[in-house]
Amino acid sequence: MKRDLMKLRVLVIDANEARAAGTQAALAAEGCIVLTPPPAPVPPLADLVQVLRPDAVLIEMDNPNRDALEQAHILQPSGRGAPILLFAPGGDEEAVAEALRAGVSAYAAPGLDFAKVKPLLDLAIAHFRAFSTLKAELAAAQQSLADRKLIERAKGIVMRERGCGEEEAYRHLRRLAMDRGQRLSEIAQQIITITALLSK
Amino acid sequence: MPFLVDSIAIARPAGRVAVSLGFMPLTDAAPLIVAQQEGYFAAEGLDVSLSREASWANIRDKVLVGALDGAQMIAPMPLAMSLGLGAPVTPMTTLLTLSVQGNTITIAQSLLDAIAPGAALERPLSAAHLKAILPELTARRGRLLTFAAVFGISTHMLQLRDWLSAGGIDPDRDLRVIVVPPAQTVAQIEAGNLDGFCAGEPWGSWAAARGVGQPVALSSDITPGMPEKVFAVRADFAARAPQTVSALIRALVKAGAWCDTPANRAELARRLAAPDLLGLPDAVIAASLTAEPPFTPRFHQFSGPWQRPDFGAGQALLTGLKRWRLVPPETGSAAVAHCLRADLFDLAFSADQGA
Repeated sequence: MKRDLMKLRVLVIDANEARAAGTQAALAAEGCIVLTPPPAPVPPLADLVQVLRPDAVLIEMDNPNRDALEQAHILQPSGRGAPILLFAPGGDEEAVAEALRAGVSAYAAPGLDFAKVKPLLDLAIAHFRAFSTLKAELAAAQQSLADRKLIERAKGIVMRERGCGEEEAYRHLRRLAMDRGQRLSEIAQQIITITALLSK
Repeated sequence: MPFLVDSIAIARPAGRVAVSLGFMPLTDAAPLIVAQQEGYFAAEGLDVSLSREASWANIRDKVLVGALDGAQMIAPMPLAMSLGLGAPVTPMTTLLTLSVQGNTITIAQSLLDAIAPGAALERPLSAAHLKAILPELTARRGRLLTFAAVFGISTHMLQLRDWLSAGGIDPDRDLRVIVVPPAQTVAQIEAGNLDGFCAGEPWGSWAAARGVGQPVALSSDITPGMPEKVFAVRADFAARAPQTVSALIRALVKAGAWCDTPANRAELARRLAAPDLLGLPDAVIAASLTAEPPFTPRFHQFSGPWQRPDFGAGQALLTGLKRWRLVPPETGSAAVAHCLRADLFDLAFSADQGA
C-alpha cells in the first residue's frame, strides 16, 4: 500500500477538524503529500484546486463544496488539477457506494488510474468509519454512566423506604425490571420521578 | 431497497409506504415541504421522510445508491445522470416539473456602483453596461472578474452565460465563471472573491438584505418558462413502484397548487424560514414569493400545465445546454425523451388510478 500512495498529492476537506487531522496523519504516514487548505474564510474551492493542484481530494459527503469541486472539470476540460468524482468510468462503483455510505466522497485528477487511488479511498473509508464508531462508543459510554447514576439514586430511595441494605435494594430493582420487561435504568427513572412527585 | 416499497405495502396492508425524498434548502423546494406539512403525502398513503441535502452532488449520489428514492433536482440533472455525466450512467425518470423560473442574476454592490448610475436602475439590467467597464476594471485588478453559478450542468449556468453573452460578454474569455454552492454565494461576495452569481431564491434577496449585492435580472427575463426544478426518481424505481409514483405525483401537484395560492405565499415564507429548512429570516424569503420589487407575481410558479413533463421544453433546455457545451454535442433528443414520462403523469390522474 505504501508504494501505491507514495507522493500522491492529496487535499482533505473536512469541517470536522479532529477527523481531518486524523485522516491527514494517516495519509502522510502512507507517503502522501498532504496539502493543507488555508484557514477560513476558505476561497472558492474551484480556485483552491487550481492553485494546489491535488491528484486527489477527499471530502466529507455533506460538504456543500462538492458541487464546486466536481464541476471544475466540466468548465475546464483541459485543466489538470480539475478532479473528477471517483465514480468515473473504470471506477469501482461498489467501492464508491461504500465510501458514500461511510460519508466520504473522493475525487481524482483526470487520467489518474483508479487502482492507484483505491487504497486512498479504502483508507478514508476506514478512517471515517472508525470515527463514527468512536463517536458511537463515546455516546454509549456516556449513556451507561448516566444510567449508573440513575440506578444509584433509585437504590438510595429503595434503601431509605424499605430500610434495607444496598444489595437487597438492588435485587428489588432488578426483579421489578425483569417483571415489567423494562431496562433497569428505566425502572430507576420511574422510581425517582414518582418519589419526587410524592415528596412535593 | 427502494424498489421493494410496493411489495412492502402489500405485505403490510395497514401500513403506509415508506419513501425517502431529498431537497435542497431553496425557495423552490416548497412543493415537497408543503406536501409533507399539509399531509398530502400521508393522504396518498405515503410515509415520506424528507432529507435536507447539502449539495446537488449529494442528491444525485444518494439517489444513485438508493439512499433516497426520489428528489428535487435541477431540471437537467436527470438527463445528466442518464448520460452518465460526472457519475455512472443511471437511467432516470422525471415525473413532473416542480417549478419554472425562480433564479436571479445578482451582482456585487461595488460592481453596481461602478456601472453608470442611471443604468444601475434599469431592470433587468443589461450586461452591456458591465461590458462597458469590464476592460478597465480587469486591468485595474490585474485579474478577471469572477461570476458563479451554483452547479455545472444547470439552468443557472445556462442563464448566467446567456445573460452575459446577450450583453456582448464572452463568459469563457472576458471573465471567469466558477461553481459556488448557493449558501456560500453571499459570503464569497463579502469576502471579495466573487463579483456576481446566478442562484435560486432566496440567495439574491439575502445578498440584498446584507447590503452586498442586488438582483439585477431574473430567470423569468432570460429564459421565461424554462423548467427549473423537477421531481425525479430512478427509472427502475418508477418501473417497480407505479402506485407509489402515481401517489407522489398527485401529492406534489396538490402541493404546487397550494404554493401558488396568493393567500398562502406569506405563510409559505414563514414555513420555509424554519431553521431545519432554509434557516433565513422569513422577510428575506417573502421578498420573491410575495412579488416585492424587483420580483413579479409570475416569477415563482409552482402550478400550471407545464408541470406535465414536456418534450418541447426538454428539447429547448437541451439546446441551451449545448450552446454552452454543458452536455456533449452529440446528445440527441432521444436521451431527453427517455427521461420524461408524461405517460406516468397522465396515469396518476386517470380514472382507475385517481384516489
